Amino acid sequence: MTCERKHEELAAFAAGDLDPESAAALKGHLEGCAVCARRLAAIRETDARLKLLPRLRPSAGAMLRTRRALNEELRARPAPEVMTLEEAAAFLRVEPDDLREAASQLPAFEIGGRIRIRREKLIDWIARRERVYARSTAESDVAHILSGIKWEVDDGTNGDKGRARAVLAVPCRAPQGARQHPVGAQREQGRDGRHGIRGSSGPDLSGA
Amino acid sequence: MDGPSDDELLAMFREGDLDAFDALFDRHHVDVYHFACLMLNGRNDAEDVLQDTFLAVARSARAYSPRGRFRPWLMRIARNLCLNRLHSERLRRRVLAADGDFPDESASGAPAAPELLEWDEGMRAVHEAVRALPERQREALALYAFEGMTYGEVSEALQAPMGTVKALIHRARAALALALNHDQGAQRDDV
Repeated sequence: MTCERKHEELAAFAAGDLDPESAAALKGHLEGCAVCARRLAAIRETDARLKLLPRLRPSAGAMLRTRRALNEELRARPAPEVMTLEEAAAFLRVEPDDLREAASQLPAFEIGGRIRIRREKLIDWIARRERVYARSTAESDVAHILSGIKWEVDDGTNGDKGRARAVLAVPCRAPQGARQHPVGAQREQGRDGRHGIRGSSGPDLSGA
Repeated sequence: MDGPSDDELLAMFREGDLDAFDALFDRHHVDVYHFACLMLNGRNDAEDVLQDTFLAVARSARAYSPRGRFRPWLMRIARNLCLNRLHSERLRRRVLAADGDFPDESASGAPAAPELLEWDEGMRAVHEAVRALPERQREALALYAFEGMTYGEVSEALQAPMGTVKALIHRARAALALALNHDQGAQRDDV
């Protein structure tokens, strides 16, 4: 004995997913069709057995391996979005004191007397410093070349080399609205011994 | 749900709170593992998917937009990783078959989960019947019946229309009922 009704429709009926009209029609059909009634009972029984099925759990070894892998990953993940000065220093791989000296230039904000720095802003700031550093060292190279030539520009200080480079430098100003920290302007020195950008009296790092 | 929501935990994790990630893992690792066991051929693959899923969550936490849909997002990651593995396995088999070296289907991915040996025969039969379903039906049913997801959540996890998801789930339940009924020696009717 067979019936042309689709099993899928019976499963939808058992789940209460048939629209009222189709459900009423099927209900009427079930009263006279033993095959479909038996199929529906089997579907309901299967649903009940599915609910009773225990869930598989990872073994203790698998949990250990997974947690270890996650710990390694998490430790290596990027610095937090908002960093303390110390975290920013670790992020930049410099000493906190070095960063503290440059605090007036950092894209930082202050809450309760403590400095906080957004990672994204810090990354932007690094990019700007890189650009300025590259420009500054290129200018330094030009000045070095020019030093072999008799300097003819009269800037009122006998056109000495130091002043000539100062003319090339971009004027500095702190980020608008930023709190000025009492940080001394110290000249940074690159690995190759050439002078890099200045601190608070160096080029403008707040733009872009 | 007690404590912070999944979205809140993920937001805390994004701000650097590693305990929040642990809480998410504790809350959902069984869902992911059980789903992977139903989709894949063995415990080892399921364990790999468990690990890879949460690594992917950690790496792409920023990409998640908090709309209270963490579970569908998580299960979509797990499902995609399962499909990748199944795809690789099929390719491997095809290459072996082309070389004239026919792999043993039943041996793939062994060993199975050890708990299965402790289950009674009826439970093992249901588990095996689910595992024998076609892939699309299996993944839809696994998410709906075992992970307790709504049709909407399954639809989001599988990135399939709601109507398709319902049809897959109903077809899977009907097929299971047939298979289990048949196994018990009852008369099998036409589908």
